[in-house]
Amino acid sequence: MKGRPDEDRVTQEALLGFLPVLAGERLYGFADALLLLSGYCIATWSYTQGAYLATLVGFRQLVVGAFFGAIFMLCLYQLPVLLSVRYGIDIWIWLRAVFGGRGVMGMTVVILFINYPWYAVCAQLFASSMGRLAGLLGLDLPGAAQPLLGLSCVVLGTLLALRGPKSMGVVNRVLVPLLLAVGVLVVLVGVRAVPFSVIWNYRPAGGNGFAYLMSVEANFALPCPHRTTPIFSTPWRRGSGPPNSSSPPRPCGAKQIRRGYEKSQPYGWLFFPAKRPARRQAFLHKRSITPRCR
Amino acid sequence: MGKARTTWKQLLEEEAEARISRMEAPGYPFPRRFSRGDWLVWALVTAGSLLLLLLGAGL
Repeated sequence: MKGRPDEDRVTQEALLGFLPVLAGERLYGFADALLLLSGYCIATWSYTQGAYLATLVGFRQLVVGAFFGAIFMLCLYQLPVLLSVRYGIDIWIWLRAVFGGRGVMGMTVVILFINYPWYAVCAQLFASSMGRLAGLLGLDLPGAAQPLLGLSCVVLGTLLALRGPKSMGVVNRVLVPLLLAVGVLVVLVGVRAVPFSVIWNYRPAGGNGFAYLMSVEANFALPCPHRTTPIFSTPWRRGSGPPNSSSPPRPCGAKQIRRGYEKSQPYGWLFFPAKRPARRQAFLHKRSITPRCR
Repeated sequence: MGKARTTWKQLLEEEAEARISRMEAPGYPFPRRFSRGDWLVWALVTAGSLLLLLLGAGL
């Protein structure tokens, strides 16, 4: 940040920090969100997941478990995200209402650590895919190439992320349609190779109720990394203003109100410098936002 | 160093104030409240998905 003009720093603070982002400053729209989510859904590791599920259940149960298992789980634990998206507040800030400031910091660190194995899986998938492509081209890569390819995946991803959200948006607009095309191609190849009636009636050996349960559990686990991936929260940072409370506020005393601002209304300090409580109070009053007590 | 930090902090505060003023201006496009209808859609989708999951066990 050293040597950067203050205006740039302010813009940076608005995009990635805590300044309120105005409605006209939004980076991503519906198309970007759709592309990003589609990218998650059709990412290459989904094929790994599908192959695993096919060992547990038949096609019909797999489709039901994959779609409705994921939708059910997403509805439950993405609810805070739905609300923060609606009101244009980063999930990190929004969840201060639940965890408090320090709690969010702790959760952030935990989530970052939880994601490391996930990144390792993605890097490994990239390395093995590149290895297979090289094999198809007649190149016999040595065993040492596998970790190097995985590392190159991490380095490339990091460099891309460092270029900022705008670059990520551009990359998504190119890569996700390509991934979608690959998905369509895979379906066409699969249906041409095996008659659809065989796919429809397929049942794995040993499939039973417990296997279905395991497949549903696997589908519950599948969307979890989405929730914890930082980029999942940033595209919807609209900064369109503080939220109206979605549940009826309870009356509370002055001391509780003060505490309530800090603990249950994260946008309290998001939008208002701490030294301006009067203006904060007036603003919330004007917007009919009553701080809630715990 | 300390002075630069103070200036930066002051700049941020001024910027925050300016943005708040714009948000307070009439006609600013605030997001619509998460309405009863939104909650209903959420509940129906959740319950419907759970029901279909349970029915899937019989397939």
